[in-house]
Amino acid sequence: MNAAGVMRNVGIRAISCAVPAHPVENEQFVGRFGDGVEKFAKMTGVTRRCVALPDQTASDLSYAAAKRLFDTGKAVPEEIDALIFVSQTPDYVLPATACVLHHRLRLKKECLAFDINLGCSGFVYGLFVAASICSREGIRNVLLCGGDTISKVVSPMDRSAAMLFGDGGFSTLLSHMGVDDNPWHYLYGTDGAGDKSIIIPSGAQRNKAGSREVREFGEGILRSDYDLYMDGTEVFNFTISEVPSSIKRLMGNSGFTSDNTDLLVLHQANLFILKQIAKMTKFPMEKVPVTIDRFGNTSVSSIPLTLCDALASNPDQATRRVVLAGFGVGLSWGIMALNVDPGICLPVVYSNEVYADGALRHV
Amino acid sequence: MSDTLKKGNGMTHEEKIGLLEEMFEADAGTLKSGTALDTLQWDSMAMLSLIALVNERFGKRLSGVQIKSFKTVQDILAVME
Repeated sequence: MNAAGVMRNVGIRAISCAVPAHPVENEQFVGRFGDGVEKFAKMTGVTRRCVALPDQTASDLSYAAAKRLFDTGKAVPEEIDALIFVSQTPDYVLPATACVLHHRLRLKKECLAFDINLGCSGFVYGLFVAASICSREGIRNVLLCGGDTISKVVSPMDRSAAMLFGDGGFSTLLSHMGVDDNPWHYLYGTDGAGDKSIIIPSGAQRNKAGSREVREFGEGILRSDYDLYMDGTEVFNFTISEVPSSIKRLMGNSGFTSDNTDLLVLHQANLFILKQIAKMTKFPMEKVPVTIDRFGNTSVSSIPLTLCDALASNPDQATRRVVLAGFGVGLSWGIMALNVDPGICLPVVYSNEVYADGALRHV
Repeated sequence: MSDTLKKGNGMTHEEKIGLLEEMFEADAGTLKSGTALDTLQWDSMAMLSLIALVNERFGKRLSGVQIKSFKTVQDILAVME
C-alpha cells in the first residue's frame, strides 16, 4: 500500500481562522539579537506575528474561529456529530481539549470528541480523519478544530526560533455530501527516525528529570529542556527530499498539474523553504500564497490561515483547484488535492478572548 | 529549468566554481579553491542554499555536522561530485 488514494462524498462547508489581536514586530528583538534580526527576516520571511497573551491558549483561538462559524450561520451547534481538535499545545495534559471545547461550544452529548497530536502536517491529517468518520452511520457533520501557541514553548532567548512562530487557531465544518463532484486526492507519510529533529524533550512522561535551567547551545541560542528544539538543517533536508517528490506524485495520480492548479498552499515553515518547494514542483510563486511574513509559522493553523487569507477577500471567485501540503514535526507529511470554493473561507478573526472557566488549580 | 539542468557528474571544476559563485552572489572569477568560507557570506541561508544545490545537482544529502566542518571552498568542491 502507499498511503495514498481518493476520498469521496465529503465537502468542506466553511473554514474560519483566528489569531491573537496582539501583533509583535521583529524590531522588538533588535536589542536582544542585533543585526541577526534582519538576516532572520530575509531568510524566513517573517516580519511580524500575532502572539497569544499569557493566559490565551490554542483552544481560545479555535473557539473564536468556531464561534464565527456559528454566529454567521455557517454551522449549527446542534448538528455537530463529532469534534476533532488538532494541536501540540493543548489546554491540559488531560483531558482532551476537544472535550473542553465541546462544552464551551455547547455541543450536544451525542457527539464524538477527541484530540490529534500533530503540528505542521496536522491540518491535512485532520481533514483525512474528519472526512473518514464523516460518512459513517450517525455522523454527518464534523467540526475540525485546531490551533497552536508555539510562541509559549519557544525560548525567547533562542534566536533561531524566538521570532519564527506565530499563534493561531481554526475551525472547519466538514459534511457528508450526497453528490460526489469533488473527490479529494490524498497522500500521507511519516519518518519517525526524525522524531528528535523537532522536539520538546520534557513536560510529558519521558524525561521527567529534564532541567528548567536555560543553557547556551551556541551564540544567541539559549533554551531549557522544556523549550522547543529544531534541527534546521535536518528539517530542511527532510523537506526537500520528501515534500516536492510527494507533491509531484500526488499531482501525477490526480490530474493536477502546476498549470491547471490555482494554488499550492504550503505549511508556512519559512520563506526559503516555500521558494525551494515551489521551484522543485515548478510552481511560480504567484500560485504559492505567503502568510508567514505577517503571521509567522503558525504550525497546525498555517494552511487554513493561508487559505482564508488568500481567498476570503474574493468569495465570489470561481472554484479554485488547490493542492495543500503540510510537513514537519514527526517527521510527518500530508498532501491533498481538491477543489475549494472561495465562499467557504471566512475573513480572519482577531481575538484576545480567554476562557475564564479554564483557569484552575487543585485546592 | 531542470530539463536543461546539467547534473553533477561530468561537471568541470570551473562549472562547479561558477555554481558556488552564483550561490554566494560573488563576482565571476573571484572564488578560488582555497578561499576561506569565513571571508564569504557563509551564514545559515548560504548553508541551506548549499544543501539545496548539492541535493538538486548531485543527489546528495549533507548533514549539519558535515556542513559546519567546511572551512574552505575546496571542502565544498569535495562533495560536489
